[in-house]
Amino acid sequence: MPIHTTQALVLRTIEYSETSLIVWLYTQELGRIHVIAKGARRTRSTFEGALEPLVEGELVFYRKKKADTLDIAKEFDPTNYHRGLRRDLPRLYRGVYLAELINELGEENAPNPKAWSALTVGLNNLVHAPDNQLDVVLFRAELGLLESAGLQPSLSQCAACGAPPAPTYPVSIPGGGVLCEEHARSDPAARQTSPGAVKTLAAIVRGDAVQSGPGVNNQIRDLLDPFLRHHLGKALRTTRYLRRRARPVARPRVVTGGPGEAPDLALSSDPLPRVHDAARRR
Amino acid sequence: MSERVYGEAVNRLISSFKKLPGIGQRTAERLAFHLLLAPKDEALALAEALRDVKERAKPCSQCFHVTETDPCPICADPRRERGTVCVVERPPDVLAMEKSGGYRGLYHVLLGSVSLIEGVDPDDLTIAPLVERVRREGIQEVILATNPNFDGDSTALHLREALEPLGVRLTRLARGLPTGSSLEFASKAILSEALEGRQRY
Ligand SMILES: [Zn+2]
Ligand SMILES: [Zn+2]
Repeated sequence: MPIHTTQALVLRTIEYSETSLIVWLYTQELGRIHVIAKGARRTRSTFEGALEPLVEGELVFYRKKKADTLDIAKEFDPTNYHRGLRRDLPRLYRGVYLAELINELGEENAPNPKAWSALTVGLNNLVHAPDNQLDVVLFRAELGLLESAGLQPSLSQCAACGAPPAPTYPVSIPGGGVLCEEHARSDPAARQTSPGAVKTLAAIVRGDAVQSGPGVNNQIRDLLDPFLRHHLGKALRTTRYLRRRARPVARPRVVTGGPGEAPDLALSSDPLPRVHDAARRR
Repeated sequence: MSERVYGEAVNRLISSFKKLPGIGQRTAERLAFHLLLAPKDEALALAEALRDVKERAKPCSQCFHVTETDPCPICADPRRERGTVCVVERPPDVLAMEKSGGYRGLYHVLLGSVSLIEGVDPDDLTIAPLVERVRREGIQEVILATNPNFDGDSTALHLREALEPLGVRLTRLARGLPTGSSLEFASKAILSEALEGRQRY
């Protein structure tokens, strides 16, 4: 049984027996894997009780030869707990969303340095970014993961021909992004979006310092959600948390997004302190 | 195919077991065959126990602890401090707290924990009745005693979100080094949390 050592991020765990866990991870060396961690549910185990979602660490595991048997975790040495995510709901929601996204997009047993970087840099930025930058940080990580899977939407030129987009920035979800005047006419799936949202998203992908308000952020979500649904064939379960505002639990569930939330695009003229950005792409 | 092999009665038992949390086909079959081969009175005792639990035990209307009287003995006890509520995830947690002998207040059982990843929402728990209780009964302190793990932390955050506007004092159980242990053998997680949660001395 070959033994592997790799940095890994825990995505999900399920209890397998009184003492064991099955753990979904995204790893730097091998992409998405799942392993069984025997004894991990005991208080004293070699896993230090650290096999929990959103914890990053060094995983040592045995690779089973047969395809239908689980790999066996030997050790997990936590290197980053991302505790900041566990102290603040908006950060936590965005963290679990990234975990679900990579679980869906990430290829099994195939290393993808871009995905690993977008994921881990994204989580670190979610821990450290100011409150009003959380969505920008999330979008950047999200687009990074899409790019790593070869699915990045075309945002500044026509997805079909590369010409400049029509002034209203029509978008085709199956067509892969914004369209020029001509292709907007011929693509039945073309639909109107907010040009501000598309431009803001393009600026985020470029790595510009961007400040966008809740209105534009919601419009960007309105763009990304159907895009992901199209490629994944289903909606991500944790998407619903992303638009959730603090609310008194005693009241019935209310859909937010009323006129109270000022929509405003601001490609800031004086740049904000930039979020950590090691994974920024050209 | 299994239908032909086992017959209707056994299949019904297997599919009942499969509805229980954490039980898949193989475990369900193992349990069913165990009962099939067990002495009759042993199997029927289980059936009896199931009937009793549904007919006699129910959640306390105030704290949601499992009880055969309503309110439960703890809620009904006049010697308990009524200004403090300790929020736990499940009924066994109440028993564990009671065994410690150090707590004299009341409880609130959430009947689960938030799991963002598995899709258990705060609205699936008894948070709304807790908010109502705190509002109505003039509770002064709510102790968040959810488990010190990912789902327990997620649950605590939602409790804080729901309770903070009421102005009630919120506390969370300390986490860190177990008494009688030594630093040398403490895990990284425990040590770093103990350091973070250090107290003035
Ligand atoms: Zn075109
Ligand atoms: Zn009670």
